[in-house]
Amino acid sequence: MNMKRTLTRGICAMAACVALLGVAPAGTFGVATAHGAVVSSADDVDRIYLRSGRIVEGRIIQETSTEIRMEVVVGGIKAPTTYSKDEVLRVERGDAQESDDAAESGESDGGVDVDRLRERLRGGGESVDPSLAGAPTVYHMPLRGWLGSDINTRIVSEMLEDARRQEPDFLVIEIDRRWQRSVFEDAPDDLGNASKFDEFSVADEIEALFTKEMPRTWRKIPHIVVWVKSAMGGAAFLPFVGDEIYFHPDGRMGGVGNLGELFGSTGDHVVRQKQRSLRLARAQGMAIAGGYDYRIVTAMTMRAYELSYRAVGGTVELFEGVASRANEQTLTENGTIRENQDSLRDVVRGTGDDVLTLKAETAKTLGVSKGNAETFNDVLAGMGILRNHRKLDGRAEKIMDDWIVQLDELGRTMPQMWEDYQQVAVGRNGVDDEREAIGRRMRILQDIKRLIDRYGNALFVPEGLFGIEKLPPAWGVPQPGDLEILLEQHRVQLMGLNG
Amino acid sequence: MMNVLSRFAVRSVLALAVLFAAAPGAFAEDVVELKTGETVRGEIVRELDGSVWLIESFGTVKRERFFAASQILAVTRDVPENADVEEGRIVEDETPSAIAPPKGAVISLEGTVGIQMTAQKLRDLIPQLEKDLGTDGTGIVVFKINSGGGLLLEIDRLHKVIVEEYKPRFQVCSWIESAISAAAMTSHVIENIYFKPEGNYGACTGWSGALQAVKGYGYESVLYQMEIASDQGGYDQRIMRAMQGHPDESHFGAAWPLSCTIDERGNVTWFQSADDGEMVVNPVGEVLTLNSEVAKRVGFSKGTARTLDDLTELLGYDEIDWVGKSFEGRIYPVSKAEEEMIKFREVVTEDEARLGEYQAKYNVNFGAAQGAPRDIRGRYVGRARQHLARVAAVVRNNPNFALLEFNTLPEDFERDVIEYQEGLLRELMRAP
Repeated sequence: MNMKRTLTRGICAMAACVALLGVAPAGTFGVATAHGAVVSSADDVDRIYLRSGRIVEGRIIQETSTEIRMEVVVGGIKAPTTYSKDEVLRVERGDAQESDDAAESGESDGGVDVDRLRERLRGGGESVDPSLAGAPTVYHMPLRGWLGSDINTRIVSEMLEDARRQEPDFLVIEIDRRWQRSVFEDAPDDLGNASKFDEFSVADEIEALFTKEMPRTWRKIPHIVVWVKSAMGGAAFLPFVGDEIYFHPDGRMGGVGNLGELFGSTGDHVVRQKQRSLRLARAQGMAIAGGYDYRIVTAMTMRAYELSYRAVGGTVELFEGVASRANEQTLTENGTIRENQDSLRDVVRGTGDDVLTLKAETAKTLGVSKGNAETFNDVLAGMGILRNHRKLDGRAEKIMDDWIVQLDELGRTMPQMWEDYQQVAVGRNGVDDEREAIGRRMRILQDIKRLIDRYGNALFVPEGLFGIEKLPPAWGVPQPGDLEILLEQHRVQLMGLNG
Repeated sequence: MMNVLSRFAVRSVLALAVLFAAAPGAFAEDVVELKTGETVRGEIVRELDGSVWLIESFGTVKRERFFAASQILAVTRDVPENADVEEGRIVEDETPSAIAPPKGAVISLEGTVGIQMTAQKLRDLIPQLEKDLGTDGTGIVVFKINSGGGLLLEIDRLHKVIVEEYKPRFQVCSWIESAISAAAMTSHVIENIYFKPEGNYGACTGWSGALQAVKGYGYESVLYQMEIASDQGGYDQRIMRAMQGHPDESHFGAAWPLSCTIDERGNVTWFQSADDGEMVVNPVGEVLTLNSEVAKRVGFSKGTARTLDDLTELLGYDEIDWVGKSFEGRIYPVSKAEEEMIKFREVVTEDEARLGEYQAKYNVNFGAAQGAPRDIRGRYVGRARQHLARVAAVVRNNPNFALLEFNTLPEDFERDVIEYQEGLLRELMRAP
């Protein structure tokens, strides 16, 4: 199975280091080990003294009779470098190796380390020393609310811009998408035909901000960590942008199991299959690019797909089909066959297997998640920087809150502006009044246009078979192209009045 | 003309020659000429009843290939590494003129095929590319493709420009971010296809309107067109068929199922069924879109490259001189040709978004002119002419708009649309 990261050693090493060292003294750099954990003491670092006079710090990951390969990590970015022993004057080894080994022998237990660590640290509260000048910096990006209206490219862009300015070492994205059946009731994992694969396009646009825009516009790419609370609907694809993923104990990732039914019975079967096929491959590509197994995406989206895993040695291996041996476990059965279909009982309890909804434990077993994290501090603990980080004073929370208020406001302002426009009486009291009325109408249209330009695609909702984005029909406001034509009509009217 | 693959190999061998310049003459190689026209160079390591196993070198990467006797036209041994062969004879003994790394340029093909991605624009870029990459055939053009498809009518034109104008001039390869439908069909004439990790390729079903499949003669003719393209690119025709699907649901659930068996040497045998091969690539009832992992596993993709450095290595070079300006964070330098391509796309995208608006504004002013008294009619006619000129400019920049928006052949557009409307405006001005 193509797993994202080797989980156990890294977290174990981190657990041992954090537990043993506590808060690092101000001014020490957090240096990540080869396994992604962060060592918070200078004593843990290996040093190579080069003949050139340069001293390189990091973690020796390989040594031969002629070369030393060292991995230095700054801000979560690993940079392995090989030095010829001819260049090396002296090697000084830190005690990280011992720490790792100790952790491996004493603490490793199938990936429960984060939970253990959390227990160990419980009571430590929020005791983060803000004066940790050299500590890795963390930017927290909460994405909460409805996908599309609340969580969209505009909001994420704004948050990313705020984060970019602060150059964090770690970017922690908290995904908590509202997933409700009604105002009063959470929705089940699997909504059947009403699942939300069609929100993929929203996720696709947001993903591009991380995978395309970020490399273009950021000077320093942060290590991206995704904390899954509710990654349901289109939000199920967002965690794949993460270098690592943590799950809230109640976290879930799915709700997109209707790709095989998308487009219903419209048109010809072969064209529907084409549309499904290309969407599936695009979604799979997101997983592959993130370093995850694409079959997980297939199981999340296609009801007919069968996926299982088996324990092999200390790891698990995915395979297509259903489990038939003691060491195997079925993730999804072919839910298009009547006898396999989940009952309502299964659906309500979230125990169905027609499509895959990743929960905390399964995600951890499959190596998608690095561990469970109930609180933000648990995430930091999982990353090994709870006691050695500096949380940046980001505006992300405010951006999210402000946007929800603004959107609510726009939902009232836009229809009101359109009503005002319609109520401007034209052509009653002579040419001057008419000119004045047309001018007022044009000003209202220009104001509407300005608002649309300002908020961009965050205002648009997908409509029709192909989800063409339009302004919400409930607003009653003409679409942007129609606004231009209305303005032209008014210009023509004015030309007629200008003698 | 040597094909792309063998030219890659030749360049690689030249690079090796530089490394070991102290041992001239040590780089004699064997050349296998195939009946398909492909020439493969390397070291023959095993032979049996006319079939050969040959190790090809791409920079530092070596790959063993097997050729059955029935595929082989001629085998020439110990050919000087810079010489050419023709049906078993050494015909040329070139000396490498330069040891510099080859030059390369990335050209992005994005947007809708036929709108933002056109054969005409690709043709227009050739002089600039020749200026930047040279005319000796060593320049590398990477088509970085990210497109959800487009117009069937443009595919044939794109094939022509790629096969007849690019391949003879440059080493050409595709780098796939997303090549769906017409975009995949466009790339299919290119022998060397690489994927980005997120890459996808396929879903080539022709359709229109409310998901109505192209059927009958149209379907058969696209199938045939892509059989030719598959041969030009060196791909088994069954792969593209699985990507195209079948309009008739009774035909394997509207599909061309596909499976394959991969032997221990990595040779892939394809089957147009879901049962005969060991690996099901496209099940009954589905249309094939490959992701980067499956594409690589079945040998369709030559490799997965996240960065241009990865691609350089996969192409078999330690170094390629990628021409153009580098920008921090940009994954490839932007050459002058690429800059031109980006600009073209921007203009066409704006045109596409606003063409309807230009037409509507023309109609508003035309209508106003019809109802206006003669003394002020000229204002409206003047404004209508401005909008008509914009419409004309849009179609001149991309003649496919004539078909799409005006249901007129591009060559008839000026006469049937622009001149006709200008005539109406003149009549309006003359009317009492």
